[in-house]
Amino acid sequence: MSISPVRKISTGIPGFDAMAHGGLPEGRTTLVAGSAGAAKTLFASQYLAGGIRDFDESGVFVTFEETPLDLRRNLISLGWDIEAWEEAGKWRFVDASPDPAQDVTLAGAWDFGALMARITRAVEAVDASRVVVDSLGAVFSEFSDSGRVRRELRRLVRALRDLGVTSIMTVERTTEYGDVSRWGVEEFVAEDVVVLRNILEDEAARRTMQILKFRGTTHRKGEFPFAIINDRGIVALPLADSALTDLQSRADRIDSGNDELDAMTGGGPFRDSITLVSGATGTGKTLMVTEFMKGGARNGERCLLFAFEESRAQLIRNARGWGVDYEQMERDGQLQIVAAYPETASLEEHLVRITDAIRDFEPHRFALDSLSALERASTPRGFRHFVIGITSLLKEQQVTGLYTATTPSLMGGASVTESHISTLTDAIVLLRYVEVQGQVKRAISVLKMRGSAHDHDIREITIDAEGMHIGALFTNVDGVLSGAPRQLGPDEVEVVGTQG
Amino acid sequence: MERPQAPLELRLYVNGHAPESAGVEERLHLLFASVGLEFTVEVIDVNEQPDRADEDRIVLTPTLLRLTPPQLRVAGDLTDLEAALDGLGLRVWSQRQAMA
Repeated sequence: MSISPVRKISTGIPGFDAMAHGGLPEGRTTLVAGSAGAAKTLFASQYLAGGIRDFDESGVFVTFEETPLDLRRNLISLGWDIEAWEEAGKWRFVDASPDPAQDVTLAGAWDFGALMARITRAVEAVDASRVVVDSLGAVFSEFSDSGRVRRELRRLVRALRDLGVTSIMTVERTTEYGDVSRWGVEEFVAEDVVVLRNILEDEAARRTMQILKFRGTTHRKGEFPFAIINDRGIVALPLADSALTDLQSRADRIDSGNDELDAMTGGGPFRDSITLVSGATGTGKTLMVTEFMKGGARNGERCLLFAFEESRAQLIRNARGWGVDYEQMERDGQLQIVAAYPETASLEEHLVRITDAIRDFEPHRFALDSLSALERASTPRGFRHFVIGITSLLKEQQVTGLYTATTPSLMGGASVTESHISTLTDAIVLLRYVEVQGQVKRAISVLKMRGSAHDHDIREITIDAEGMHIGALFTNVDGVLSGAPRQLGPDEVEVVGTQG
Repeated sequence: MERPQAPLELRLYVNGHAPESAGVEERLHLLFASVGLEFTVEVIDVNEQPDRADEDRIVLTPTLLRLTPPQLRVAGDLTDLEAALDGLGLRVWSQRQAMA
């Protein structure tokens, strides 16, 4: 006996198809459940729009809630000219929204015969392969006999299957976690269920989507963040831990931009690795980013820099002070700088922008300065999703990454960011202030270097017009990393030697 | 209120495939007989003329439209006579009948 595999049809919703291992199961009805404001109508509309735009597949939109007029008006802001598609015979509404001017009195038993006849007619008229029913909650609230509504909806699902269309039904839920829907709809639209969430955590809103089940076929498990972007609609970010382990690690190393650092790390960062640079303000994190970019440029690689702490002008000025000409690098097409304020957008939107930039610019190197700035404007869960998202994308595209994190206290200790994401990074470099003999000095140490031997010393760094120099060991100082350095007896030769 | 002289104009959408729509015409006659009013009705099977159902935005079958003002709608097989009288605005005639 041969088992025919479930075919999937691409939704055209960026990111969703990857989550869904191809798209929605063909010829079936998928239930899309979500609380109020979870973007169910948008998801459904985008599914139809994607079909028309990307695959020349027509669609029918059955609306129980908003009028076609409202839907046309709302969707044109995303760049979808529904009216033009209607005229072209690509999109058709079946308007089942309540008419405020005319109440319907119920007097006895009824069925959805008229609705089904209209849907059938619409599907045939535009030769539709996609149908949306939005939303079942509105049906239940309009017709009080919920037993009858359930029976009729079950028939509707069967009718849609007989028509050979692939459809979406949206349904409200009252909680973000728990029962799929208020009305037990999942009893009869049970094969395929997607949940959209709009979660409020610590006063920050976060949107996620999750495929709860696809019968007889695979999908990615777990919640994935998504954003709603102007002109694009829903953009899902289907990146997860799994992507971090799936990929073959490459053994070749690259030039970090600083030869002395490369010596400390046993030969420089691996090409598909992520390095975290952690330190207090002013210890040289942005300088290390600059050196990393310089290293890319001198090896003919493209570099992408996302800066969330300093303006473009500041970055260019700083780099010039360390002997790196960012403007020339940009003119040569070797660098792209994107400076943004963390608060101007949600973390998911930033992630979409970064993802787009990585896909468009195809950099060899990517630096983000700093993660801590973004972390301040997010929730722990959202932040972790974000870092996983970028990290897995960088690995997938074989881009070498460098993130910076700011420690809150000047004299060391771990940063919050660091403790949240250290397991996601391949290498960790610590930058610290050290007080020695009445002077504040900077120290560097390679804490972790996955897959390689590395220097375990704590060394002094100096900064001049040519950038960063890594010098002698702090051999007679203890407790540098913990933030409580202790002199272990004077060594005049070394003190004199490093003061010059 | 003046008793309507001209027959009331009605439109009835039915689903020829479904038991809910069977017997609805018969009950419609009984209902009007009970209030002593005349009517004319255009019966439309939604499966044969789905575009008509679309124009009138009909969802449920059977659905009865009262076209003579005030325009009103009643859905269901009319087994609930009281609700049907209310929904068609005929309750007033039913009471006159009862008093007469």
